[in-house]
Amino acid sequence: MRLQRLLFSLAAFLPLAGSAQTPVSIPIINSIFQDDTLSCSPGGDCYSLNITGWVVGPQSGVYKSSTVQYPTAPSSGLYAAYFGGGLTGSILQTLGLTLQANKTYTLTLAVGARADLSFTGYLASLMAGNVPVASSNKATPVGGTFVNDVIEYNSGASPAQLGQPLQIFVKSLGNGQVNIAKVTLTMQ
Amino acid sequence: MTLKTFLLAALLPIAALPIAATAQTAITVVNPFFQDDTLECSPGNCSSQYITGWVVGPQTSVQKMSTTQYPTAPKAGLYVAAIGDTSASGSILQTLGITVQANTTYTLTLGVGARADYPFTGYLAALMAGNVTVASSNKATPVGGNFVSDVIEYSSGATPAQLGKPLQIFVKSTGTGQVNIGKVTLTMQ
Repeated sequence: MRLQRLLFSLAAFLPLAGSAQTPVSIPIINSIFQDDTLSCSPGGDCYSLNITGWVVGPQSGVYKSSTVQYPTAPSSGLYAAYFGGGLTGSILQTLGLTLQANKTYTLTLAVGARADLSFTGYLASLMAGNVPVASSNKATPVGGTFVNDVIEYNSGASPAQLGQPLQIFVKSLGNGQVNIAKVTLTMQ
Repeated sequence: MTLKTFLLAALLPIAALPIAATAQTAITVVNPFFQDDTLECSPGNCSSQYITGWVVGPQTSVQKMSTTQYPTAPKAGLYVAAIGDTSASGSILQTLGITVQANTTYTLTLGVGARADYPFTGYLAALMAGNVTVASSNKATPVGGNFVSDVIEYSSGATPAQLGKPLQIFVKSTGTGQVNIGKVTLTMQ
């Protein structure tokens, strides 16, 4: 009876061992685009080129929108990365981790379309050593909303980019503007 | 050569070893004096967005200051990183070519300046590794027209959490003023 109880207790404990598989968050600098402070009032004209921690392309910077752009924005404004608008733009960050084997990486982006400007698409990629390993453009936010795009990458036993630094890259497509309000990356 | 002089000659380099092992080693920083970019304009309000070797945030540029900004500036001008202004905070970030090692002391030294003709409202400087801050400071308080050094020390210990992660230097302005950085050095020991 005692042995049975012991085995039962051990069996009950086993699922806890699975906690080793809990996703680990990978640090991203300025992941919610609030490291930069803009002193202007929220709205279409409250922006500045460049973003702390990110390498930017043309027409790319930090932006503090109002309810005109996003009806649910707080009165103090909603910070986001903006890129594109006339020209295409982009953001890129190289992370402090390198690609490992047998891991699942999950990149999640909050992709926004302003209510007062056209949205003509984007391409988001998880990269390693400047090579895309997984990409997506499947979020289709309608004006004034954000939609999550979740990009998953299973590295497998012997990934071609093993040991290369991970990178996050997002670019706008067409002549519209894309906003990104949040970026997270986990590894499991 | 006598035995005594032979032994002396043989032992002297060994005696010198411990000193050499603990000597500070400079870590290479790209464009540490912000002089890699050449501005053709006259010193003063002479600036250009972006800085060679550094990822910059908003309202961040290389600027060639005159004696109006820094009374001791040379006639040819004084190059600095100009970070932030009244409209937005700014930043500079550089990822270095080496990674965190155990049992090592890293010393980051910054020349932090406050212009005589523009408000200075603070800054935050950090030594980072793999996008994680390992040491930071905002203790320099330069008054208008001067630079003050801020020295940030980080001892990694035997098992640092960021072991093997690339080192990074990060400086941001706080508030609605401007901070100038005239020099950045990083050593390890």
